[in-house]
Amino acid sequence: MARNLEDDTDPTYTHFSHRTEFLAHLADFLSLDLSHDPSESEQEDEEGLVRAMGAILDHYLPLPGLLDPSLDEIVPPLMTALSSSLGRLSESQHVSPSRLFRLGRVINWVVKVRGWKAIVPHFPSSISHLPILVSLLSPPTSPSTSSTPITPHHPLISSQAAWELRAVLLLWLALLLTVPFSLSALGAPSPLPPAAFQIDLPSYHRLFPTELAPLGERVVLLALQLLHRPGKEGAYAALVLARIYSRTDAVVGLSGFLEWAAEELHEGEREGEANFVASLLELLALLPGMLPPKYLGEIHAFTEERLLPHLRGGRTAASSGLVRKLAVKARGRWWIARLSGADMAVGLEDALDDFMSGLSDKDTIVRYSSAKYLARITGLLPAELSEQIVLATVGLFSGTEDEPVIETSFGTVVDPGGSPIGGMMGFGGAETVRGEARWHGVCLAVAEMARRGLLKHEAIGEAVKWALTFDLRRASHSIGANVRDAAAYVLWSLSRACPPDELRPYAEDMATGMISVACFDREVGVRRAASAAYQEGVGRLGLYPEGIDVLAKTDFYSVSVRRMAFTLAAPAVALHRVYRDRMRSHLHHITLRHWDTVMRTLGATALKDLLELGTKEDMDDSITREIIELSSLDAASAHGALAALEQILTTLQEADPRRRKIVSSLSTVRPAALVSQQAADMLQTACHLLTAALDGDVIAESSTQTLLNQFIETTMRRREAECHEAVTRVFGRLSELRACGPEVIKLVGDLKSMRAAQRQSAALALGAIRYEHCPDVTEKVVHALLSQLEPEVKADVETRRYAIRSLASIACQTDSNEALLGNPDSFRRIVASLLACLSDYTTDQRGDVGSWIRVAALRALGGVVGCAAGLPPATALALVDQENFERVIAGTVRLGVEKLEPVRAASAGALRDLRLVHARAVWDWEGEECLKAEMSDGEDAFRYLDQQAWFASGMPLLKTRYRADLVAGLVLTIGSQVESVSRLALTPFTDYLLGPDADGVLGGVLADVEGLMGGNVTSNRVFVPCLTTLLRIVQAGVISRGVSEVLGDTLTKILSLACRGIPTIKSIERITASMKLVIAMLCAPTTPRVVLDKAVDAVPLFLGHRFPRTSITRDLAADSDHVFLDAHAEAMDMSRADELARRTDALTVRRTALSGSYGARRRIGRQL
Amino acid sequence: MGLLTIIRKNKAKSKEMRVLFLGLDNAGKTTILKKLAGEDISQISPTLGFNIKTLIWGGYTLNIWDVGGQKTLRPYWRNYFESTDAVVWVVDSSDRMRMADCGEELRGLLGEERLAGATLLVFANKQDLAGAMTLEDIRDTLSLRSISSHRWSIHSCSAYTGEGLSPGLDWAVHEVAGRLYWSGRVAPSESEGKRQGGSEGGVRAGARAGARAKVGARCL
Repeated sequence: MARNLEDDTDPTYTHFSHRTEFLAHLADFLSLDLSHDPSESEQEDEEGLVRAMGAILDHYLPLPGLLDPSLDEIVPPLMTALSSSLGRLSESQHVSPSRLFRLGRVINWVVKVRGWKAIVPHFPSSISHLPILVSLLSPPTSPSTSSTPITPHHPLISSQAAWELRAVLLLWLALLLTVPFSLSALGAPSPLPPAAFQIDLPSYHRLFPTELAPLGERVVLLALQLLHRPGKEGAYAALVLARIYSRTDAVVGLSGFLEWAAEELHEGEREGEANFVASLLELLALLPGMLPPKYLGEIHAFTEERLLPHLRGGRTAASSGLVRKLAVKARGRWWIARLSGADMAVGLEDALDDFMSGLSDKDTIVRYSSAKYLARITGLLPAELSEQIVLATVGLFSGTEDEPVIETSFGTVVDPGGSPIGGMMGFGGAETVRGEARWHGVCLAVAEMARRGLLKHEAIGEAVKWALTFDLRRASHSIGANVRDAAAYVLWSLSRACPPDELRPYAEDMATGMISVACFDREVGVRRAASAAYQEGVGRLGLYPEGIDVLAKTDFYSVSVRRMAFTLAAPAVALHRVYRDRMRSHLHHITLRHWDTVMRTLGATALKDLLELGTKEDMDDSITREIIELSSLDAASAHGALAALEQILTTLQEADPRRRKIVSSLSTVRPAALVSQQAADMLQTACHLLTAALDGDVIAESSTQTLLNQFIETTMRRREAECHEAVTRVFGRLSELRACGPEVIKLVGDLKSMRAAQRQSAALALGAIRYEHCPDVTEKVVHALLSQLEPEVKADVETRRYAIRSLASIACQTDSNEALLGNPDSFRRIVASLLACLSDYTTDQRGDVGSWIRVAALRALGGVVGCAAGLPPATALALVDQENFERVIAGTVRLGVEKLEPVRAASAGALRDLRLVHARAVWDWEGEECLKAEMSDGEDAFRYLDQQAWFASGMPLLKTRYRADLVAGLVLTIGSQVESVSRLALTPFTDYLLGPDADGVLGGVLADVEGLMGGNVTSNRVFVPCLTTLLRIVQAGVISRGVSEVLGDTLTKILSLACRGIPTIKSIERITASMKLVIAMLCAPTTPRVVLDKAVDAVPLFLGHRFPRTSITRDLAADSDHVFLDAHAEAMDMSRADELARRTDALTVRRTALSGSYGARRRIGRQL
Repeated sequence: MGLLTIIRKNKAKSKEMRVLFLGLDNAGKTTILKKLAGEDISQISPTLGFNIKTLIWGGYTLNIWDVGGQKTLRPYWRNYFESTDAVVWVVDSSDRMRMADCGEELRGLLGEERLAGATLLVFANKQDLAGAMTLEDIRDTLSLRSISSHRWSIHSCSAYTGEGLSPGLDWAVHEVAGRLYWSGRVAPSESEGKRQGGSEGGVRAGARAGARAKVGARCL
């Protein structure tokens, strides 16, 4: 009854949702006939099928258990197919090797994803398979011939490609060996000499001192050789051996095997033993759980006296993390089996010692294995003993006796201390970064112990103390995030397993420490881990101060974005004093000292927010602490101090004495720090600090000027744009407080400096200065800046860009009476100069750097003209007359439709500025409503606009005086080589030209283009886009409309311009563009007759071009001609058409005959 | 091997599940939980914030998050180390006034991405009170039948008497186990035995058996 209300729809993400799909693939796969070889195409399909199934399986790797309900539908059918093929194989019938291998691959894939233990129970357990498996895995009994070399197994399954199949067979064999009957009752396989298994007689006798059932002996022999195989084959061979030797009827053979293995190790080459050793260790890890206890001693002796000593000092273990991990596992499993039966035993201490040193192994798998077995064994021991082990483990955090951890006075770690020498079990594999691996491993171990409830009393306190410490700075990175992640796991585990009373003394420390990490760690994983650990504690312990409130502010999402964690979560939590104090010291000790600049900067902001919530004493304390750090030897630390003090300054009232204190402390910054790697950050921050600090009191201080000189001078020499901006703000602030005549004179001088950086920052700074207090120098400055824009001065792009900004700013400066500071003449010169800048197309290795100038000029013009518009109309017109205004609009319109988006954005911004100040009230502004964009959020908003709509909004300008300017801009975009950019403008353009409003516009447009071409014959930058634009509008069918003699005339002129000098032109791009235009004209059905004639005349120019590379051109030309002839044959003078056809055909024939040699083409060219 | 892989493995090995107890305030979440754990239920005040409790049930370790009724506590549902396997939504069957609100809340809850795929058990609590809505009425008011994103079931219960609690939780645990721990799933008879050992001091076995028979008839 209870089921009635359940839904029966399947949610997709919580179970094997690809079941149907997978089973369909499986059915396809199983329908293949294994006795037939697939064709090549079938082969491909089948590989695809296997990959598809594998991909589905791999999808479930994170939660393979979800496959379990379907395993019965997957594994048995596969195994049935396998067993029937094996049957055929043993009867010497044909089986397709590739299909059989694929079957093995699919089964092995399932095993890989789900793990063998879960799959094997679905294997058929009928004993009848045993002899077949044994005989297939054994070498063939028939003697080898020269054509069939000896193979270790049946020839078909011996190839390299069959390893997955063999792995599956071994797993199956291992399963069948659990059969409860005696092996001797199962019959004997056909006899083979030991030599067939590469075993010599002495070894054979060593292996089998007592007789084993023939079947058992055979299984041992075939598994032995497989121990040398890599990966799963070796591991499953070990499983087979473990199964056989743990049988009561075969266990007597174990000592022989161990004897043999020891000898094999001793005699074998060390170079190639890694696989063998790994397989042996797999076996030793399996045996303790399977053997009767009385045999444990035997394998212990082998491990401790033969195997491990053999590995010590060698390279096998040192270079393989897997071998070291397996060694831990084998010993761990042994001790667990041992301790489950008896109590404390000899040798345990050594083992524990080895596990502890394994915690600092350089490979994570070794660390985790060590941690796991250390904790499991500890859990099996009596309390007083386990407590000691726990304490010893926690003690590993603090380094070794010789090299203990070194801490600062406030408890952060300076040096992590040393790790045990020689690595675990004397195998090597010591950590590469000091401290990192060890702390991670110890965290894992402690977390495992905590999870098992093994941490008690003082161990808890110690663990908590350490877990909150790990943020150690290395030269350029911190000790791994994985350590802090694991440390949070320790705290999480503690919260889950420890009774509240045990944790009570540490609760506050834990809570505040975790929250500091949750808010202020650099890595999102660590912040989330700390948040989760805190959450667990709140829910389980109820001990954390204000837990509920704080938790809501620092949940998974609140700490996900670093900036949010710093600026929202942290101040919200800091409302509570207990957290605020701890967070503040975290910022001082760790965040502001961080190696990452972004962290220091964010830390400074967070500190400011915290201090605003706190008391005056907190503030004084923070100021003092950071002032001390200013003189730090570590530049990063000093920068953190600067950033913090700058943020603090912004909260201090004017005339607060602490402002002077902070400013004067700047002199303690070590000069060396200002040339370090952090110098740019430091100087920039110092400038911000000075900007924030300057006020009447501070400036009156005599020492201030020295500081200013020092920092300004150093900052101006930096290349970084951020430094230029920062120093500029200092000048700006300074000039608000007092006259800056001498500074200005110096800056003007700097414009001629040898250093580019100094020229650039001077150009920028001159614009930031308020000239109200020193109006007499204004003209001089304007003159100096204008001269930077003159071509003959050859100022660099950055300087020019800054000069433009500065000129605009100076032009708009007013005195206290709102009157312009500069004289009208300067104003007009500035406008003229800015107008000229709109046509800057400078390029260098960085590309179109001229666009920076154009953008700057557009912004400047928007500001300057806008400023004029704010004045009384008569004054405005005196500064910018109607003619100049139209030039401004013309230039802005032209750039508003050009191909670079930032330039278009700047243009849109300028037009918006002019509309905002109602420029229309002062000047006539035709087409004001065109090119209007909603961008109240500033220029950034532009990029989110529909660009095609933007272009469309400009098209009505084609009917205004700005048509030519619009066209000049459009050709660059439409003619762009980038198809997507071109389309943005082309579609609105052709739509408009073909639309109802376009009467008579086309003629004008074509004339404009012709004009552009005529004026730029030598400039491919404009000429080629013109050609391409024409081509694209012709192809769009625009010319077909309103064909007239006037138009024909223009088109003819255009064609002759396009073809002018073609034989001598070297630019392939231009030749191609011209040629395509000619062809397009020929092909367009409505091309006027005069134009056609012109085009026909032009064809030979291209057909006969001397450039070999233009053979493509000629191909295209020849092909297109036929199209054209079809289209125009009737309309044309037949003789001309014939002539053209003759030429083209002749060319085609000859080209084929002469197979395109260069000389031949030259000859054809001459003939034509 | 990342830390999260290890944690996931550990969780699977120890057969852990995370269960969220949610519902409007005063629905009886904490009382149900205490009753299940065999604690005293005579003194229960509104849950401020939340509690995490570990309960061994049917061979599984349930980490039960009892989250207060307040909306502000929603952020807790997502956690770095664990995902939610089941949601137990507790309804006050006698609170007809707020049943529509309750439905709204439940809708909002199921829309949460972080609860995707979790099994949903609805406890129609306080069935022992006079005037309690019937199971069908509650089902329809909450429009459970339109839920397709989660496996769900509604069970009537009384936290006060303990009636119906075990079958409900059994269903949820069985459902989650079927998804996550198929191969290790214990047979019902076996789980019965284990549970009695596990939640010692819980509802007396005899009383539970009786209650179960009764509730079985009432549970749809």
